[in-house]
Amino acid sequence: MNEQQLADLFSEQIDRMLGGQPSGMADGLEGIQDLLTLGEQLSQVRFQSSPAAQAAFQTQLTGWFGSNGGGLGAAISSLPKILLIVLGGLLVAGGLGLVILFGSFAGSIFEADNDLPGPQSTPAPASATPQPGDMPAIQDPEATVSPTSEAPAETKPEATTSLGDIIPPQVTSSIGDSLPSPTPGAESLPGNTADDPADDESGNGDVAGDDTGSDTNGSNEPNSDDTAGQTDDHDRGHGNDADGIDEDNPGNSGGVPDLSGGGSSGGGGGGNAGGNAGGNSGGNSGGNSGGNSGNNGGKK
Amino acid sequence: MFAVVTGHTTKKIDPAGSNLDFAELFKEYYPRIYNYLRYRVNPPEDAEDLISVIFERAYVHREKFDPDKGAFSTWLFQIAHNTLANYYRAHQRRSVWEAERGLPDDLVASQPSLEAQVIEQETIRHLLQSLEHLNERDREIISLKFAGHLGNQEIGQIMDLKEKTVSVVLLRAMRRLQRQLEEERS
Repeated sequence: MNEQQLADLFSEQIDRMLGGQPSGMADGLEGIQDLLTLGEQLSQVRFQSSPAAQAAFQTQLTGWFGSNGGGLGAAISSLPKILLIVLGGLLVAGGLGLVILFGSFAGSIFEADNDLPGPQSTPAPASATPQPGDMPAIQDPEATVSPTSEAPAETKPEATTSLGDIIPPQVTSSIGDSLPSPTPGAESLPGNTADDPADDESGNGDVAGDDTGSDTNGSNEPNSDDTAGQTDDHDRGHGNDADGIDEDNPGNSGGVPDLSGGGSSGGGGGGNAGGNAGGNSGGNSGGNSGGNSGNNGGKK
Repeated sequence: MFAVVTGHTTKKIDPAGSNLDFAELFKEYYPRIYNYLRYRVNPPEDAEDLISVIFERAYVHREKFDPDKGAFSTWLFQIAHNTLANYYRAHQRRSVWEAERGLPDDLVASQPSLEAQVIEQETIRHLLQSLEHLNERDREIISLKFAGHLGNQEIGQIMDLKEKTVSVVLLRAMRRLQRQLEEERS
């Protein structure tokens, strides 16, 4: 018996053993009897999965084939196609009916919301009503500008007051032309620098009538000081203006300017002669030039 | 109606109710597939994971099963064989029966008496350890034969061998296993 024949005999005996049949009697079995015994031992090795794994497998089968091990799937698959089509059509029709019903219901609710004055529609006019009322208040130029135009009016008395403590307001310019500033803090005041054209000439203040936005008040409205600079007595009445009154030296007034300077008498005395001569010349030139520049700036 | 050979029996499957039959076939083959896996895989948790994958693949590809080309057992064990090959390729290791000191909990005792159970379990432990020393083809053919209870023709289809060759390979594998057992005992 060659190996192939012995192998076939062995496989035959093993298949009989695995099938639960008794091993037959045949020639050549003596040589493989030990192997048959070993095969019998191997066939007795049986493993069993854990209950958890078996339950998981059962769950897997239920998910695949339904609750009855595929009962639902089998039932569905065995249904006639016509019945499936009819059922599918009914489902689709029912779904469409629900959609239409829901749409009509939602539409009626929407219309009802539009008819009734809801809480959201009431505030809309209420919110719209104050807006026209608010707009003029915001767009009113007087209401907006009036605080800024009043600001210089309020600052001017302060400057005047601070200077007035030392020197009367009318004398401030003439003294300021010939003497250094009495109080450095007074020149730094915005109202003071903006008011006096003489300070404008010296470059310490802004140009009189400068309405181009460099105003320290930040207002486009012309300052009241600028207007005063155009109409008031710019040379502080050194007798050169139209009124002919020398406010700095009332004794020289009389409508005729004292060009010689020697005509001065009284309170001013000789001490004022040269001073007036130099003061008038310098004051007139500086004052007129400053006033003209201020007028030019105002015209611009 | 067509016939499906399931191991040593033949079942009739109705194509219209194939889902129900597949469920029953899965239940019937579950213990054999698990036994086959436990011959090759340790610990048992790996075998449980593998058997879940195997039956999921079988369910997904159940439409590909053609009774004209082979038995259902051949088709299902072919899936198990390929899944096991992928498992070894992915894990780069073999079963660890050799390192097992005791016996696995999922081993079913066939002997009624406690003494016989002890002797049987000891024998089985030696068998499994000796099986680890065989080459891949010997272990596979012994597992398919004694754990899967497959015929030589089915084993030949799975392992791509002729039926006659399977007989010879099985006989040689059993001889090597016997020699290994004798070495273990000596």
